[in-house]
Amino acid sequence: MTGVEGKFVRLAKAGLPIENELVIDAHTHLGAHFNLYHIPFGDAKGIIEQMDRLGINRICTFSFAGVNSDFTLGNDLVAKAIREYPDRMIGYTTLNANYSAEWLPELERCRKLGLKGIKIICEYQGTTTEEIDFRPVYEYANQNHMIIINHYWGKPQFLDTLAEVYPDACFIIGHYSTQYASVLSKRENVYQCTCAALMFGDVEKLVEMVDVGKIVYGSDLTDLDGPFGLAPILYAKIPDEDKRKILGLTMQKILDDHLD
Amino acid sequence: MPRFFDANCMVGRYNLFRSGSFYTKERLLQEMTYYGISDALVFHAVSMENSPPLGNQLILEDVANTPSLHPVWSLLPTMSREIGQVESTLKDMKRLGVRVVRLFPLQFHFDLDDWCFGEVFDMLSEHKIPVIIDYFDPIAPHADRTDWQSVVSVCRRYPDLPIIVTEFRFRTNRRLYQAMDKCPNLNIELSGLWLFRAVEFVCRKFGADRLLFGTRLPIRDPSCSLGMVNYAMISEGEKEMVAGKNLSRLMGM
Repeated sequence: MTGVEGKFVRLAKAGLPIENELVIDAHTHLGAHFNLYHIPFGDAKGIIEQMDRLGINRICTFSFAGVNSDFTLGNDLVAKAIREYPDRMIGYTTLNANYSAEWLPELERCRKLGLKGIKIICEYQGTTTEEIDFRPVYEYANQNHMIIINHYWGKPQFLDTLAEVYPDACFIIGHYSTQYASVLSKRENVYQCTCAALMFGDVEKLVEMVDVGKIVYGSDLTDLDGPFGLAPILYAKIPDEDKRKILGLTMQKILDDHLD
Repeated sequence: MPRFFDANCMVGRYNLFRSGSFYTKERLLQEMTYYGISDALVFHAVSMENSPPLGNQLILEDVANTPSLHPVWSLLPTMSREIGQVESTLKDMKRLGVRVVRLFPLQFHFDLDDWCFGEVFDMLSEHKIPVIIDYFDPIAPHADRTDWQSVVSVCRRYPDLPIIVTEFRFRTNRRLYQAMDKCPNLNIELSGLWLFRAVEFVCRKFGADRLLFGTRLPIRDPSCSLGMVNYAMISEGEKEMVAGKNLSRLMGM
């Protein structure tokens, strides 16, 4: 029940940044504007301030505007931010499920702007991933060895089929879940993000059910507060070596395999 | 490290129990030790889901001889007579060391307006007993179900009564910040405030004295709230206030 207090618990209790470790946040949002709520300090500078406070080396980031507004506006904001902070931010292109004619042109445009991965989030666009024929996007990701992170992949069988048909794409399950455990063990190109492991025992339960090497840390900042997503990993009653994999080592391997 | 006094803990069997979680006082104390939480306000799950008078009795039994756990009682409107006379109930609270009240308007289907809860608020205000208002809704656990109109009305009717809102402001904050601006006696418990750099924003805009640390153990991971305080870009003094001093002050400790 109670775990040994390792390095990460000590840092968290002291409120100290994580130093001399690799920390990559696989799930973040960029942009200081959102209809649901006010986002203070939400520009790129405000995000970097919190990354430094926490000891996060890099973030994979996509726009708020792409979630439920003009995705091109959002993708441009991401492109600007990665130009300003190329060593700290890895940009993803957000697509809107309802603009199928613009998917491939937008992916090409954003690729030239330096965006590396793809974000889809159909539930905020009035539909679901299973209802939308995203095959051109999956094929594009497969051809270009890209990462796709999705808010929700639907039934595990659906994701399992995609991972099999598109083996050179990397599929990240954007939000905490244990329903994909069998897919994660079966498919090398599927990974589970910890965002938002907020219920008691979530992280420990996930590590019990899934190979820890298939789990990547994600916070959802600036949707959620950075420490809100990071602290459950730091405090989790699991070995520090497992925490290192979750916090950054596994995501670094994914990036090594999938970035140009 | 600041001393953490958790404003939001529960013991007792609850309906939507998840495997891996817990519900006993003994386990709560163990977890508090692991996470570095020294004290906690605790209500009984029966007070939230079945009967405030039964739950109020159960929480006294659970926290007896446990100085780090502080009991919280829940109240109801007067006409159903489920709770005794308000004045005698408050005397019992004082005698038994119960310093905080928690209300569940959604769970027990009542309103905070004067016609429905005025007699109770009159007495709570007279005795300056802090009131936690919990709009927890098991059907929509991630939505803000807070009736802000009623909360603001209560704060304005009873400006000397400390009001603490909790659960769930996960995806909203514009109403919350307007209410804080208009009601100096309105305080926020942290376990539902998940938004980016929200602790810093509230401290800068409204003052660190308006935020109370809380976890909602055993339902949620306490590290979420602990991390938000420990890593907030505020002064050490402000952290101590949020972590526990504010709650102690409101309780008259």
